[in-house]
Amino acid sequence: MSLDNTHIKPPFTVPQGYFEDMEGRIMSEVKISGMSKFRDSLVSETYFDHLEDQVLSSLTLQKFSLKSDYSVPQGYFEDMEDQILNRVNIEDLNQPKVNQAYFDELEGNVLAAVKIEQMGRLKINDVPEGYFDILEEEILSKTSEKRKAGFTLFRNLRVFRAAAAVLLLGVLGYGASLFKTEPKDDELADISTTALISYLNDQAIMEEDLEFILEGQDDYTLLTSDISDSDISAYLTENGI
Amino acid sequence: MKDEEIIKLLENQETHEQAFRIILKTYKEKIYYHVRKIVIDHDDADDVTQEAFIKIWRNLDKFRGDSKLYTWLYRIATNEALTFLQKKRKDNSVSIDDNEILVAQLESPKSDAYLDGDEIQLKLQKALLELTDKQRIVFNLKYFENLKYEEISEITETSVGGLKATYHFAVKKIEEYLASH
Repeated sequence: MSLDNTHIKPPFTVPQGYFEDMEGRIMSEVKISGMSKFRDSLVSETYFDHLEDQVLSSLTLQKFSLKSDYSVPQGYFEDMEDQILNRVNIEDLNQPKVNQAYFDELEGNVLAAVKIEQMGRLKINDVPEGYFDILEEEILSKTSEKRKAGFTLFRNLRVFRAAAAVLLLGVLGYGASLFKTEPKDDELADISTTALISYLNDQAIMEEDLEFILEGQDDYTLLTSDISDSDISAYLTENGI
Repeated sequence: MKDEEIIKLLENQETHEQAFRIILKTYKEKIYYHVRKIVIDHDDADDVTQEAFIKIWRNLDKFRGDSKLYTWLYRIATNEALTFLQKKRKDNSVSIDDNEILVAQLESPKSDAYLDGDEIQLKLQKALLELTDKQRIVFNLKYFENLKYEEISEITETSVGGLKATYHFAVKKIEEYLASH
């Protein structure tokens, strides 16, 4: 079976109405995430010191106001419940429901994110002066020693195979570049897919060799890396670098 | 609305939110299905898609128009999905190449609720789980989304030559799997 001649669709479906609700859900998440940024700056430092007194005095005032003889339009209280419920329903429609558990975790998540951000900032400031100037040099000297010591026949063969691939791909790339007047960053982009595929099929080059040459990175450095400094230092220690 | 018009709205701070709402409306399904094909499970895809859009919202100021809008959106979503998978594998103490959890999810009765394919469609998904994450992403973008190598190159920040080779090996592996299963 050849995939080039068929077009198979992915089998995934979603719950009914999922995409209709999605916009509302994401917008409310966005609002919440935006609000958390300003959460701490919204109140003054002494706000909570006076809060209790303020609440107690407003309760006292409310007690008095309940006793007064203010009249209300006829049937006001009868309609009130319906009016409030209607407004709540409208609000519910505008703002999709969120699990109670979500709010239980929200504060913790936001605070943890703030802590992590603060830690990240501290880390950058904590580096001794001139640290980065010598870091690259130190790592390079250590890694070159390590590489020298670890040179094996297997690695040797792999490098030969890789070098052969580079050479042949280079020839293909150079051939293509002869017809170009302007230099390009990615010469391999000019090689036709057919030429590349027939080359790959003809040569005894392993998949990983080609990945090694063309990418020089694995899956998890494919995009912006999220590897922490501690992971890197643990790796260096583990490998005796 | 075309991407160029959305970008114009993004240039003005007052129309930022409007631009984001249009992005959300236009790309929610595309981003969801792109993520779904990477993480497989619907609930996971839902979480990752939401996170991706929140990241898009937070980074809208940083979009300078150096790349196309949709490749920028896909890049954020891909990154988010890969980070999610990496964490999931770490939490389940499996190696970074192991797709065992994803295969189990694809075969679980819970997944049946949100799977609607014939035998060959499901078989192709299983074959895809034999690939590395990177091969899977490149294959999905080329085969299902029909994107050009240049566009995939912007999303994955990989050379076009590398992508051609990656796609070739992915197709070869899938065809071998389909022939032997």
